[in-house]
Amino acid sequence: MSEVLNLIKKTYNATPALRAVEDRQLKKILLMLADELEAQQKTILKANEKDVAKQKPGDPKTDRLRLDEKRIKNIANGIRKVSRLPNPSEKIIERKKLPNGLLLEKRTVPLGVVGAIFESRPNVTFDIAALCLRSGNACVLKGSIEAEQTNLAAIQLIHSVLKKNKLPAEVVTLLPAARESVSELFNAGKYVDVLIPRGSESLINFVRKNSQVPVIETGAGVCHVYVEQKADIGKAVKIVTNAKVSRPSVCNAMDTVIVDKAIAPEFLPE
Amino acid sequence: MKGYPKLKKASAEDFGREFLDLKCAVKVVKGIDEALTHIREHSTKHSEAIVTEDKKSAELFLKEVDAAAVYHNASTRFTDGEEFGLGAEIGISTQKLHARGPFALEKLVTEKWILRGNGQVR
Repeated sequence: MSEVLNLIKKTYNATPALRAVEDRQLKKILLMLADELEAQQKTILKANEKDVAKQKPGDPKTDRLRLDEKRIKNIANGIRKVSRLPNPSEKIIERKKLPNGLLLEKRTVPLGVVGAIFESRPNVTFDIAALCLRSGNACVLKGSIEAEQTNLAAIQLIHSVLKKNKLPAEVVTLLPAARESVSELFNAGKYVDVLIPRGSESLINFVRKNSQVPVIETGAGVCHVYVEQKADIGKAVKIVTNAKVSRPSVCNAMDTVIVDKAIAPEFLPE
Repeated sequence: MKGYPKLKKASAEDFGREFLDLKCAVKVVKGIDEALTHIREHSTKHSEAIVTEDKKSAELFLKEVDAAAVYHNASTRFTDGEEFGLGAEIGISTQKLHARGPFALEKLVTEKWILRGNGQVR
């Protein structure tokens, strides 16, 4: 068994330990992680500087890669927010007695092991780890080579918090940043329940095309706003402008405005 | 197009393109049927909106358009886990199995049937 697959298997084997943790404890772990992240931000920022220094000057990816005190604070607050969300697992959806006396119950349970493949943004490491822990899932993370040092520092921090709470470190695993980890993940269907690619369209397409593990695709949005002939022009202008201009770089931003011919002479000049 | 130096005639590739920039395509149609056909052809099934005061057209649009989120008289920018009250999200799912739309904490679970008996056999 390859080294990478062995790491994935260890994560799978650590899931019972995670399922045994009470909800209160999960919340506490996340709050502790947020506090530790702020307390030890120097270590993370130092590691991040090493990654940033390796970037070519002027590379647009550098900004996404770079961490600073403010971004760390945002990540920590994001983790605190997740800790306050209700745990989605162990919810009873249905309970009934069958005619033969069998008591049937349907409840939500963690997926098990979540795999994530993502590009340069180092906040994703913390975001996914926090969401998975909150819901009782173990996770295997494959970050980019550009963020290698930052991710290594991040996982050390996460592991130290897990150990302080007597949980096996393997419930959050960082796979080697090398490309080989990706193909191992694609074939780890025995141990990984879902695979989530986060990043560019090419990354998502690559994962969807090659993975044997079910993929949850979060992707491109080509969004339309249709201004129908009976539209209120004032509303239409406000909506179309907001949909396009408020944040053009995101997937829910408008790409095409469709206008009825009857209203076009009136709407378009606005 | 006089007086609008940045305005260019759209090419076929401009429809169905995600610009991620301060650019957009404009399509003029004869009516709702042509609009629905255009969306069916070019949508990535993420978020789609209609602006109208006509209830019938609005309901037709909301029913006919196949997307994770459909809007009447509101901006598509609301398709977001935080905005929907789900908390932090992993992303917006444009597929139909397991999670659709904002993929947040609530969808990091599956289901399990638990059966408690006292010797039942089938």
